Amino acid sequence: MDTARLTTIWNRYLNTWWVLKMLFAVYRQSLKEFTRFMKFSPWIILAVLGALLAVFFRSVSAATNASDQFTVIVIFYTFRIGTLAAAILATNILNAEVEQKTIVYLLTRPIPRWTLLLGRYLACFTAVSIVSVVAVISTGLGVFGTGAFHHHVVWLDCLAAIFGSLAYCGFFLLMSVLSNRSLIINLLVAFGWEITVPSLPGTAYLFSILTYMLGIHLGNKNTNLSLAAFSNLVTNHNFSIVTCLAVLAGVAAVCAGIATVVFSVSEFIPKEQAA
Amino acid sequence: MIEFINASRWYGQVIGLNDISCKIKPGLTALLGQNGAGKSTLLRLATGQLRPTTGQVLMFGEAPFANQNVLKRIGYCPEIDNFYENNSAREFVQFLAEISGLGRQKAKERTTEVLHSVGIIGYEDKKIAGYSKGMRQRVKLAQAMILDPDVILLDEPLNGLDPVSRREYIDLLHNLALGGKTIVVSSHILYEVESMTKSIVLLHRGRLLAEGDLRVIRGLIDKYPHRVRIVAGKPRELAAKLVSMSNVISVSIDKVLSTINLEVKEPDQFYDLLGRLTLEGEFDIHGYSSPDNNLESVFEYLVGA
Repeated sequence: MDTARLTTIWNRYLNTWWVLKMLFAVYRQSLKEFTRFMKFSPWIILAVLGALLAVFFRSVSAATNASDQFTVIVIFYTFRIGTLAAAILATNILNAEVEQKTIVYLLTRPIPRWTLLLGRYLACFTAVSIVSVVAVISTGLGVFGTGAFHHHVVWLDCLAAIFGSLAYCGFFLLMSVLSNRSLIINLLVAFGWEITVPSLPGTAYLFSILTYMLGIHLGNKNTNLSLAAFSNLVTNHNFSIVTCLAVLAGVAAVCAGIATVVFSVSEFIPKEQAA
Repeated sequence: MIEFINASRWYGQVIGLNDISCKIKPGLTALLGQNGAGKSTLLRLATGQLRPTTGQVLMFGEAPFANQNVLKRIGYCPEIDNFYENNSAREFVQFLAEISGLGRQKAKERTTEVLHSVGIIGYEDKKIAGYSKGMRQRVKLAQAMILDPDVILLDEPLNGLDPVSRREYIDLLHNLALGGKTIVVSSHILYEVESMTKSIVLLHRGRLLAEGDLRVIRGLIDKYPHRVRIVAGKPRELAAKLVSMSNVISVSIDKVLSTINLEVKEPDQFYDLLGRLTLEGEFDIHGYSSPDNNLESVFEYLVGA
């Protein structure tokens, strides 16, 4: 191998290392911001409330066993907390910087623009994952008691929560890059689309992130869940865990990829001037 | 170093900058214009936040939009007074240093260095939320200086500074310019700029009105009658003295207010003489001012010319 080629490889390595260092710096600062006590504690409180809800639900539920009770709470509360956290926090990945106008400090740095967005996206994903996993574990503790960690489904739901957070953050980030009304859109998706679409007959359910999270939750097993309201939800999620993980990771990669490309070529004009 | 070639920038139907062509060389240059003249747009184009709608903007011969090679060599101090308020000055500047490519240790050292050079000593670990306006301006300058750039662009950096801080800030900019850097400072206050530099770029409603040495531009203005108001204890005696001077065109006295209103030619010579008369104390001159010594009147003259 000649010297020129070695030098090229070495420079490429240095450049990659340099970009990774900057990415990590953005990630660290953003995570600090996303997990600031005053901002983050309400989410953790909401996540922990899952335990109280589970205890209450156990005493009034028509579902016959703890496993079904867990499924009901996960579908109607636990996963929703993650969706809501993702909708609000991921909107802030870009909007907070644009509205505070601090984005100018970032855009005038000699850093590839995609690293700015990716670093913030990963920080947001970490924060939402923490909320989602805390919600799952709290619900598990509420339903199964201290034996929750021996239940396979709790761990599967932690996995679903993490991959779901990855996909939701990616999708909501893309919306916030594409639209300056992204909070409204994201909340409509979180509370409208994601609540109704997974239980619709036909194939529309395939276009919901929650579908694949429930696919992981059910783990490709038949459930005895007998509540009529769940009939579609349950039959709609007959995927393998690997398929669900792949779809969620794919959604995240595609959305975050498009978002970084759009961000890299976009201008951010202050509102007063855009008006 | 900074070059605009027929550059225009539109915001929808509104024009921000209209067919600007100019070159800015090393040293301290003031970008002068009223609010809405296009100063911030020009700086945003130069720092690669915006792309020109038509024409070209070149920094070191390259288009600056999202261009890392260019951004490595420039520092930008925006007009906005926004920060990550929960950060200290050290955290804020160090974060920006790290994402600018300095390693953590190097970023730390460089942060301490620039914070000290802008005069933030003893407060660097306190939250920015508690900083005075002057300190906030200094933090902005510190973040712009972090990579020791060749070009520093500052958008209205003297806004809200008290006279002492203003003096110190201007001295700091002079020192940077003397070190061979290109410093561009935008302002809408003429006297502020006059005390800072003689090299100006004058914008008005998005157009380049004048460029070059302020004294030359002043010369253009001085062809027109210049109004002066003098407050004196002996206005009649002073008026009699002034009316005999060749560069005084007209004199009127307001006895009630003890003021004299004049129209003069060649104001620099007139002010020299007025200064001497004030020092002599014969006419009890309390003060003088000129309604024409503001940016608006400069524009009126230049637009009218």
